[in-house]
Amino acid sequence: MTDNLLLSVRSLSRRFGRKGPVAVDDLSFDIDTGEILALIGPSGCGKTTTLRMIAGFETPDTGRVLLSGRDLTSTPAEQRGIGMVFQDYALFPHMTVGENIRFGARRNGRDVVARYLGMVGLDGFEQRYPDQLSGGQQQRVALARSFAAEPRLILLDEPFSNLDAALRSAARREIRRLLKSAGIAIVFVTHDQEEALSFADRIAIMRDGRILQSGMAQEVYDRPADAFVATFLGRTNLLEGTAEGGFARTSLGLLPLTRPTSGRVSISLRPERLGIRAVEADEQPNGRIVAVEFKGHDMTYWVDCDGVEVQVDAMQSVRLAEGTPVRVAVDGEAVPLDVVSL
Amino acid sequence: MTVLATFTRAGRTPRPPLLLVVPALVVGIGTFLPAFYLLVRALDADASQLGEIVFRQRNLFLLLNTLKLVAVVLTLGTLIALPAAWLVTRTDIRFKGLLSFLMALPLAVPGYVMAYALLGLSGYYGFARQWAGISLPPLHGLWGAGLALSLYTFPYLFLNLRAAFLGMDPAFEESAQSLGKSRLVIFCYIVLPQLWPAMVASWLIVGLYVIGDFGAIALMRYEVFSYAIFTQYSGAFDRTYAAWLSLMLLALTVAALSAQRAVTRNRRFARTGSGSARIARPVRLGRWHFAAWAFIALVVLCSFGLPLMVLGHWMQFGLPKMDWAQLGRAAIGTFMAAGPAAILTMVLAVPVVLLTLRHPGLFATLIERLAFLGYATPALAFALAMVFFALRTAPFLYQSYALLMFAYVMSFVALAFGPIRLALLQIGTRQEEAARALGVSPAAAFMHVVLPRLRRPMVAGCLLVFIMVVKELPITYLLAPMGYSTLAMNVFSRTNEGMMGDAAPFALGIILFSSLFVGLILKYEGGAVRTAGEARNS
Repeated sequence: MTDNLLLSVRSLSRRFGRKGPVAVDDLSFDIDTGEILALIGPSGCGKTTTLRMIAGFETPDTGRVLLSGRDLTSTPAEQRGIGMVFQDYALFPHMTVGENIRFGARRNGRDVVARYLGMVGLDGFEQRYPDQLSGGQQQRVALARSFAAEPRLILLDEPFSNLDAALRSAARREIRRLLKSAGIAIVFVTHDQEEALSFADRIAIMRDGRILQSGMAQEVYDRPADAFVATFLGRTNLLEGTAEGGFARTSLGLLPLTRPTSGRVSISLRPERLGIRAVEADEQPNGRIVAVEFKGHDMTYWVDCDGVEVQVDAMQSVRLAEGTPVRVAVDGEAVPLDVVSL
Repeated sequence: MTVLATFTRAGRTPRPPLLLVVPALVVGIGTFLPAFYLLVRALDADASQLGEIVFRQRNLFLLLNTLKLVAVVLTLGTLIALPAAWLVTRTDIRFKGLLSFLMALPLAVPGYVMAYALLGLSGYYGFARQWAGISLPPLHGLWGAGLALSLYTFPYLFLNLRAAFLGMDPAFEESAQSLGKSRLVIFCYIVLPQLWPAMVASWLIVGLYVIGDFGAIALMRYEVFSYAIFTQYSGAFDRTYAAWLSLMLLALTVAALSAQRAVTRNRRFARTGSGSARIARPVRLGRWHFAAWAFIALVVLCSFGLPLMVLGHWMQFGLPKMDWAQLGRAAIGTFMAAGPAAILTMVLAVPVVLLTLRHPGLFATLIERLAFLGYATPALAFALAMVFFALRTAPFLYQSYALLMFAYVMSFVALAFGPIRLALLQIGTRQEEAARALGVSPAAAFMHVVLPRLRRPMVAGCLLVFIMVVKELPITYLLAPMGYSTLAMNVFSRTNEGMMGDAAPFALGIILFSSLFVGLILKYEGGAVRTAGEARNS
């Protein structure tokens, strides 16, 4: 626990119907002031239910929600001081942008609306109605409306899923900067790994109502705990091998491991951690290219290495054709995985 | 995502606030009273008599006749209302506002006037033979009653279907179109399933109306439960048998209500997409314009032109000895009965609908079913039940204005549910949640976010109840304070004495009075879920 601890979720569980499946199963996590946490997982993993329990729209069966040490579990949603921005933004269609923002505003000054609109870069939109705004503008109004209530924590439900791809990355960067400068903590829910990795400080991967792994985005990406996390966060090569101390023998040869282990292991090796080059004159190839995927600034090669198909990401410096005999080399360490049932 | 659906259906909901529970209890108790009275009355019979009454073969005959009549009316009504609703919402036909008004206008025609008009059309002395030389077979029995009832109940279907068409997100149809489906396939697989709740709800309303109506049925001499009850009460004075017949009618109502529950269970129609709903691109009628107009002209002629012609015919005898002062008194009396009743009904209906949607459960379901039961209870039995209870428990209430209001509200409260329920379903719960996440209490969130958008359906519901009270007869007749007079009472007493000419001005008064309000209904209904932006642009 740190001094900036803002939100603590303790052993939250929720089951729908008496005999229904468990939506959220003994979930616990913490968030610091100003931190951005992503709950990421496939649809139906319980991430939105978790969000709604934090917001106060769902009552947990067991567990507690604490904000700055205060137990909010039985506090009604409107008294929690936690903002929420919905997937479809839920702007009030019969009110103007200005009225929407003023609706929940903590302060009543004349310039409140202008200030928050300015914050999200929508100066002069006060008199518009929600149906006269684009998706991105609606989202920013929804954020401005939440900001105006001055919460310390805002929950975002799939915040970028309703924006088109071109807008998404720009919106992400802009809103992240906005949130960081306002010092507001965020819990957001997404099923998009790229969104989670680029937007969050910390990510928590959920599956079947539980958190499988949480940590800094880079850390979780680099050292996934199991095959589910490894494959859910981007592409990876899952190899079988036999480990002995810090190394494992696989179809790609002897690989260094991130941590020592022994016996049969599954290991994860990200495609960008592999190097590829055409064999030289008298060199023995260890693989043959079976497919090439050209993606613009980089390429993915599918290489048959001793009967195992491996993906290799390479920059444009090498351009190899299908059928080329190649040597694949590991650049870095492979991650041994916990055994889980997929 | 289907988050909304999942969350409103599953799990425990918090305890409903008293603000919703108290009105619901009032409605529940008020609408249960008549059934209770009927039971007390029915059990008055001694044991030997009882078996004979219950297993009388005539009961089966009445049941079959009632079911046949309901089937005929619903079929005819849907055949009129569905194409009409589609025409005024989805095609490029012109004068949509006027057409909607004309289609809703028959609401203003009392059932007995409609039946009389049809009778006057056919037969040897009928209009058809006198004016056009065509001798139509006399309209009697099932087909006569069925036609009369469908011609003045189809507007309920029309209004509900029209509102459903307007509230439907055209994106569903457009995406089906983009999947290469034909208009017909889209209509059957996309549009109809979405219309289904509105359809079933209005079938229920009309069906219940049919089994409770006796004016048109009596004139058409078609023997169904309500007619038999009426003759037992007024003619044979066998009130025990009448009570038993009423109980059987109630059983039929309960069966209909359970059937409705079974077919519309677990359906959610809140929009899940982003942005606002758009107005659908109209279908070009092209050469079908002519057919469309012919269809509408025929419907308007039969449903409104005909009664007007018959009334006009009578007016030439009634006008010379017209008592204007009496007409004025009756008009004011009608307004004083219908206005407050409509507003009180809405005040009770909104909390009950909110309870059923936001706090679903045994209690909410029970109250809703009871309200429909109150609506389905034949007005005559309802009125007598109120008389009985006033005399037993609070004699000072007998023939008081307060009891009259109470009876109106309890028998019509279910009528106001439809528009409010539809609007609330379409508004969804997310915006209220958004408001609460901004730190606003549930009550304030409802007041600011939902209520402004409920104004239109509320006004529409009010007007619907208003018109029903204007045309209502048995309750007014039995419960009105001494000397109180309404248009309907005047029509009834004069028609009853065979003074058709004298009755005509009052009947015309009812039609004018109600058609004015039908126009107002259209102004307010259907716009329930439109956003402010669209309302401004239109």
